[in-house]
Amino acid sequence: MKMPRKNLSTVDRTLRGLVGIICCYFGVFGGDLIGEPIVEGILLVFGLLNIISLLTGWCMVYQAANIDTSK
Amino acid sequence: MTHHTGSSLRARLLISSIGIAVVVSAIFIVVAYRLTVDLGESTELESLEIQTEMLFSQLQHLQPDPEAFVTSANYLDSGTSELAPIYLVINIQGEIYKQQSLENYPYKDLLISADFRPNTSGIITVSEKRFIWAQRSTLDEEISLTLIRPTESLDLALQYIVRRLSVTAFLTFWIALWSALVLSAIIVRRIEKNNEELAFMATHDPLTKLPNRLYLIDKVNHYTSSTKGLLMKSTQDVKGALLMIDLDRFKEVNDTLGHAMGDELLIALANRFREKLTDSCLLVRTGGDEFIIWCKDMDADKALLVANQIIQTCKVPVKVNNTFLESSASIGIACFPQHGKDVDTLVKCADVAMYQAKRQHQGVKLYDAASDNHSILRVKLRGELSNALKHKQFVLYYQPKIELTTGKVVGVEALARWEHPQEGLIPPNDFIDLIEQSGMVNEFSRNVLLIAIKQISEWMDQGLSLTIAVNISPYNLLDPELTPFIATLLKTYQVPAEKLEIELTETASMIDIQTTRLAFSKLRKSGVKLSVDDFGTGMSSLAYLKELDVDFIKIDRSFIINMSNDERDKTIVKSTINLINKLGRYSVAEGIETSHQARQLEAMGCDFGQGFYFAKPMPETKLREYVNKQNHQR
Repeated sequence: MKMPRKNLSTVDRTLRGLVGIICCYFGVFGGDLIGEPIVEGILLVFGLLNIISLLTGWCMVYQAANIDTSK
Repeated sequence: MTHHTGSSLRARLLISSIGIAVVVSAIFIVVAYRLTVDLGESTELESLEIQTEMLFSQLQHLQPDPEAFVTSANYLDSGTSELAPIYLVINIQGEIYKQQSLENYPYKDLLISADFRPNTSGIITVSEKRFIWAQRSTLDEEISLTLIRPTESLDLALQYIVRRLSVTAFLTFWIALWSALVLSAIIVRRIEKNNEELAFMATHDPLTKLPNRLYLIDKVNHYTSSTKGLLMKSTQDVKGALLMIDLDRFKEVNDTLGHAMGDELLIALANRFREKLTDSCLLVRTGGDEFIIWCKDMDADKALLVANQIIQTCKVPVKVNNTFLESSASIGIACFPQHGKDVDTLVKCADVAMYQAKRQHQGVKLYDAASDNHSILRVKLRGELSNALKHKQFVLYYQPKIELTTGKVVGVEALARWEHPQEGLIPPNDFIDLIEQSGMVNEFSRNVLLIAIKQISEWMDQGLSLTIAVNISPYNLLDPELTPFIATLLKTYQVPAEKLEIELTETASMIDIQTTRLAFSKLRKSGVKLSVDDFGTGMSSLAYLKELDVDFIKIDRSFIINMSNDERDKTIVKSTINLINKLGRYSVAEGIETSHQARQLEAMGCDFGQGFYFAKPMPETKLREYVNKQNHQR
């Protein structure tokens, strides 16, 4: 399978990484603070998606929307 | 432009999605907040009622030491540190005992504002703080106990909202953002696709899928404007060629074989043209049987090469519905920037060259500015045709036909002339093809036939017995009303049918033998004489001589002119005359210019002759003099 082309700039990637880590943290350990398993689950998924973006430099939504911040 | 539509659509979708997310989140937050507060307060109130009940029953037993009760009731606070403190107010026979901590609160206001009724409970708001209360009293209201506690549900609800709902709202915004981006991308893609389809439809011909004139104009304009700078520096590198292709006699294919066949032929030819061209050339169909090829960076020599290739391609028969159709094309070439610097001029020049090529049967013609004056005249004439017909500007000149053995004038060939108010007398070569292209050919031929038949009638009244040969266009043969029209005219002017002769050029009559034969047999039944003109020059087939039932066959002037010098021409003429005579038709030699030719032809057995040696075409008044002189000499 062809690897999707990178479409995120460094700033974009860093921001997503931060958001991803924070979201994942709250998704896993934020039980007391959030107190809602569904929201925690969504946060976790959301955080993971952002971490994937951090690692690959590629965003699925950007790809679908034909946006490229890497240039 | 599409890109602009896309980004503005995306911005609008983003704004509206986020707007919707904000509104929905706000509604949910408010509703959830209210719900939490309501649920929390009613639970708190219930528990307060139970506590009040319990304390009140204790109070009734502990009487009469209310002070001690109040003090001991402080235990209520000690075990339940998470809850807000409860305040007790005990009323025994008008004497109020209260918990010390209540001093911090404006408890009197509280008691006043709350319309305490015995054995009830409720919620009150004092100084923007909400309190729950419950009261119990004895039947005589001598002893009462009121418990008051600030509510905690509000704070709790706020806490929940800050934590859960704000996270949810954040996620909602993010999802809204994503979906707006994806949605806008999908919508934009669909719009772009539709726009592309519309643009394709607007700039392409649906039949051949080739681009159309609009597309060509756009491309050529783009090229001419992009090379403007280079042109200023007068570099030789900037060049281009525009080839205007027009299929010859395509109308006949449509009229005789049907439009479906014509369309098939066009598609097949378009595909062939496309194969012949390189990527730098643009092939467009501008309508009907007209194509244009625009090649940038191509000079006149190369363009001529391409044009000749196209012409060769046309000649290869095309198989359409099991029929092989042969076609030919005329091509006019205009070069950029010598002949024109914009698309309109180039097309006009190529058009002029194409018409020259067509008229001179040359196939390809490069635009020549010197002959353009003539072309301007043609464009002018084309516009004035219908007016000329209406004002009867077409007149007939007559060229005598001589019986070679006797030298007598037996008939004349009627040749149309246009008496133009400004341009003077215009010969048929300059306007016949215009008429054929204009769609007025039937009207024109009927007009000529009317003049000719009237003329015969007039001559008969004057005792002059001459036949008139009228040239008709092959398009006239497709007119089913032609024969009845001639019959009516002959009857009206009381002219015997054999006085009228219909001439058809061989090249024209050979195209569709079935149609020609049908039309000829109808004409023949009406009694008029038939003749094939210019025999030997067209796509002749001897079978046609056999098939077509005609009276006269006119041998083309090109054979007669060179007959004295060229033995081959002489042989051809001799054999043709022989053949014609053997088939029982009359032979007519055209273009006789010398007495030697006339004598030779007579010796070969040719029946009739025509040409400048005898007489040029002349108006009716002169013709009468000529006939009288000629016939009296003999």
